Amino acid sequence: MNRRVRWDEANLGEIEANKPVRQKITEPKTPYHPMIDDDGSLSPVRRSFNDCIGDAMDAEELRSALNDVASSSRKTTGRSGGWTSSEDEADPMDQEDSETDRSGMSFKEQRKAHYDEFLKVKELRRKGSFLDDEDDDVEGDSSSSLSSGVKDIDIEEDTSTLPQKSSARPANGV
Amino acid sequence: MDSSVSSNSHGNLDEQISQLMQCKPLSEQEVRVLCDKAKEILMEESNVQPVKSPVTICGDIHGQFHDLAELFRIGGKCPDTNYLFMGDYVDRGYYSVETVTLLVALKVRYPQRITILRGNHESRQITQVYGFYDECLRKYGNANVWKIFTDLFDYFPLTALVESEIFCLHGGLSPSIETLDNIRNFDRVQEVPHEGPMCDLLWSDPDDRCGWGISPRGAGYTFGQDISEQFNHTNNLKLIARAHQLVMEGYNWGHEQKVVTIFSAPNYCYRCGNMASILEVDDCKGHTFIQFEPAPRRGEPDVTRRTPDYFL
Repeated sequence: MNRRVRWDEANLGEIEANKPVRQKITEPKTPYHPMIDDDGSLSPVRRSFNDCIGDAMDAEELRSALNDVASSSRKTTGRSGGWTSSEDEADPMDQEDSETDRSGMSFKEQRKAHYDEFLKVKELRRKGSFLDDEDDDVEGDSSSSLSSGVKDIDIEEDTSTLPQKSSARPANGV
Repeated sequence: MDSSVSSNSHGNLDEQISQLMQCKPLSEQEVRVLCDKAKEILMEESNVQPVKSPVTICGDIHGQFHDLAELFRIGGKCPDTNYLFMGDYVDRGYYSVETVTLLVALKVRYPQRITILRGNHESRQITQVYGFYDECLRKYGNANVWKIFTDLFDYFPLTALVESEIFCLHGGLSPSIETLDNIRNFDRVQEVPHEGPMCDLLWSDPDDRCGWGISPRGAGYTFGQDISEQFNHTNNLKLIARAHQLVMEGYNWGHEQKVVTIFSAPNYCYRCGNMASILEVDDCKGHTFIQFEPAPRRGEPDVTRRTPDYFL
């Protein structure tokens, strides 16, 4: 028997024939920049220890932020990991905001999901987790009446709708 | 307005501004004095603050201090360039304190040169969830500075009107508001309400669908092109300039150029990969958008300009 390596040519051929379209990876920029001082001059001075500590904290926060966006974009694009088909390749956040293309809609969907600030605050208000909940009673909307004392009743239904809005005006869907 | 501030305190203020330009926060006591002066100036301004051209109109900043510094490098320093900021100075970015302090300091120093409107994040409750409150605690060890600023936010004007033809505000229109005079008549000095016209101005978004719609945000409304056209016609306006929404190119025309969205936080949340922009309105009322990216920062990793796919 020949001791040299023998390639399974048929298998290699099949892999070659069936390999998915490769995704182009754009290299992130180098993390190093010329040392330019705020006054515009070149400076060899290293940053202080405290600055580095600050950056380390930032890096930690950034990492968790990246993980967040990673998991959320997996959710919204239905990615299963590994290489994607060319159709899924484009990062939805890179796309033009165009109503006609599919990725553009996905950008809008992602943006819509991001801007849930009011709903989040409303939920927290309901739980009474704010300092200074002044004026709530004056507003007279459903959330404030809930926040002022009534705690253990079933309020899930109320928060999933927008009672103060739905009856107020004609809506063209949402 | 200038006469109320002595030349000695100008010197002081100039020092504070240059300190802030280096992203170094003021002391609590300095913030307190600054905000007292700012309150006097802001309470004199109208709910529809008149602004003259030339002026450079800017959208959301969200505590991205170094990008605000880049904005001033690109747009020109205040007071060499007049500025109109349409709100959302705080939350989400790491330098809300420095960002909002700098803008307020510029307002006090050059009251006629810079206009700072209120955004939906200039609010007590939103800032408790989205970062400004926590940042104040971290940087000052207590919530006093947060309290001082959020009390000041109540005085920020809600809208501005450039040369009687560009209507500027953070969010958008309200079904309860037909004319600019309607807005002029509010008592705005209060926390942003959870509903009603003042809330709508800070929360609404333009939409492709006609008419009024329920906003998916839970506050404000969506408004269609027909609404924008009617409003501009009624009030003799050429354009509604607003912020409030991430747009990838930094600006985005809508409603057949009756509305434009301007967003001035590049790579929003340090990860969205968007451009930022500002709108220069020159003396002849010509419009130029200037786009910009985050300024590269010394020794700081550039990990987030685009999220490479292999991170996912």
